[in-house]
Amino acid sequence: MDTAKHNAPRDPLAERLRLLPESAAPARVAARVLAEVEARQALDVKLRALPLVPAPDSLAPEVLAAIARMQRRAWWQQSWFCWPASVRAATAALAVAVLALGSWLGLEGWQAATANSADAAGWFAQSTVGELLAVLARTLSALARSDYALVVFTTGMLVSTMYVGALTLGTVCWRLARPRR
Amino acid sequence: MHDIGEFETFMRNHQNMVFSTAVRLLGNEPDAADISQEVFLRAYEHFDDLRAGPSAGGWLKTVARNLCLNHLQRYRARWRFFSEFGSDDDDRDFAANIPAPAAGEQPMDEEQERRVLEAALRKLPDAQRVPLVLYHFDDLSYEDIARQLGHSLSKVKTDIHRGRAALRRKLRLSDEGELSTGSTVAPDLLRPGAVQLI
Repeated sequence: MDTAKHNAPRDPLAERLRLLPESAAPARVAARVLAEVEARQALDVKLRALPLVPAPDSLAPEVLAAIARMQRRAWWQQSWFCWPASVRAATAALAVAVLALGSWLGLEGWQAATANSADAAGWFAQSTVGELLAVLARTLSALARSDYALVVFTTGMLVSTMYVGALTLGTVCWRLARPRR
Repeated sequence: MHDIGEFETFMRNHQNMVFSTAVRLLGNEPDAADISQEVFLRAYEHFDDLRAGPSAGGWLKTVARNLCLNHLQRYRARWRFFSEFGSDDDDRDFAANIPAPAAGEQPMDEEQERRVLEAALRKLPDAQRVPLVLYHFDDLSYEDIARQLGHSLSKVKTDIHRGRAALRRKLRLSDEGELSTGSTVAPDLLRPGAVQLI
């Protein structure tokens, strides 16, 4: 036996509608539709009349305790926007200075590396990626043979600058997006 | 830093509204308490704007609703699985498994009916309860609900319809009972032998 159907409440309206003759089918449909609309409206009234659910007594004390914990944190553990103005100005200036220094050193190194390279002009004249890469490889190879220390120093400065810049930017973005409580 | 005493008064004035919104969307009180706490911590950060504004209640309700939906989205894979891939019989079985009223059982008074309705609302499956609460308590349109949940309009309407059907069965809101209290549907239509062509 189907337990679900056995337990389902019987619908008195459906029972009475079923007793109507076959010719009353349109009336049956109309009655069903109107009854459905009225039942929906009745349910809507009952739902909107439900009173508010009382919040637990512990909610307010827990919120106030969390706020007290937030206020006790050191300033550097809070959002960057909560830092003292002088510290914010200093960190912003430091980030800009690191990026500027790295860019300048990288540019100076590149200019020094290409100044004595006969392939530098040819590199700019190439039109395909493969040829560009080939020329770049020949140039770097020549530089490494002629001035290995300069190439290492320039590459190291570029990588360090990019790493510090990315780390700083990521830290700032993380602090702005997800301040700790 | 804001005045803690003033914020506490503000919180106590709105905590029931926030908690009700959360518990009806989530269906359980522990999660609703966590969400409510998060709502008020965010309110504290924006208290300068909220303290005197007339839209504080609306702001709190919107934040509570969004946090609840985000919370439910984290379990969306399981929610969607049971909602979309379950057979149609699953939802019907949920409603059909509500026991039929016992013979001779006294009709419920208003207070009892409210308690039953609140409990039945929490027991609805997430896929039915959430759109139904957004429609009846937050006054969102079907389109807004579909957009917010990322579902089709037809799915939202179907889920709300099934949720209503389950609640009506629980409350024993029979169509005949509503008709007998001044309904516009003429009782003549229901008399055996009565035929009216439309």
